[in-house]
Amino acid sequence: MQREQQVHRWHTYRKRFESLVFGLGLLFSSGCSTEYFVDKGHVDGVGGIAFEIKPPYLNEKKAFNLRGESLSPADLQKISEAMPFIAAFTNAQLGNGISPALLPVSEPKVRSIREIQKLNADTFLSVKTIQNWQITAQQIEFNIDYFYTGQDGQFVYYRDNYVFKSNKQKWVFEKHATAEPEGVLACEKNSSGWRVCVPLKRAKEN
Amino acid sequence: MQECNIELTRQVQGGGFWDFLKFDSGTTNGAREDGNALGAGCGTAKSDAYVPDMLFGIDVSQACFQHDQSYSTCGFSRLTADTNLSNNILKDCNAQGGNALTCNVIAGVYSVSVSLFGASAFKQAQAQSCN
Repeated sequence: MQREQQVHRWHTYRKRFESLVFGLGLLFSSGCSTEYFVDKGHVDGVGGIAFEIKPPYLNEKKAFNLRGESLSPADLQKISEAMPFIAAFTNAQLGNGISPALLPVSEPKVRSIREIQKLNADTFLSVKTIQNWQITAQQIEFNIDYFYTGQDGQFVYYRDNYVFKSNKQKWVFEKHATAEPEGVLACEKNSSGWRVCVPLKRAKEN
Repeated sequence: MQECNIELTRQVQGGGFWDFLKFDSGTTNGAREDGNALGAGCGTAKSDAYVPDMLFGIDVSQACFQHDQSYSTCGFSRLTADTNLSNNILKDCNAQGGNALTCNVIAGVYSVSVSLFGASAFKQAQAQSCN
């Protein structure tokens, strides 16, 4: 039985390796389209709703986690409308490559990760995922997971929560969902080898 | 009677060896398993299914995604972005328990790939972000 399982796993991994070799071969072949290297964006259909994953803020839009959660078509439609505004807001929160003095004057009530985590201007802040959507008639609540390279060279993951409200056909930041951010995340590899993160406070409790 | 759980099975069967053979793009049926949109890791939306986010059991998706975001930051140096990618993979690989040889091989593969094929992606991303 154990032997059979090992043989099965071996075949699975061999298939994956063959796919990898085939894929890399395709990628590096001379007939390969430049679109395999250059991302110009695409339209993603989720639950029958179209999402424009296109510039500006292409990477922030890619970070929208829309498939891992139970969202109705009406919820997805709201997120689709809010996507450009949330992506622009996320980009402003990252504040990479721009002198803070040149940043547009933002709402004073928005928490700054750079201030909370005391990150200097050289620290490159990235977005990992935007998720945990909670949609009501008037507002959209969600989390943004950020990450950056810490002083020891390891990635540090950090989560904060946001509430957006619709205002004259625009979606704008209204408030934070909770008085305190979830803060630093503890990440571990799951049985499939992927990194799964939970707030450090919750990880300590378990 | 002894209970048999996954962790025990992995210990008996030597999960480390099997983990070493893991290559995974993180996509299934044209969608990313983490729920994000295609291209939010290693590769673009078109090549996401072919470019591994996991090599030898090491998850490099975050290093790749940070590299993409560096390219998309107006004025960011390509050399710095590519150097950061290599350093981040090395550090993240070590943190995930990869040995020195494995980590250097993975970092080398991705470094060479972005050096050879990253120019057009960098140019495009800069044009998009600086406009």
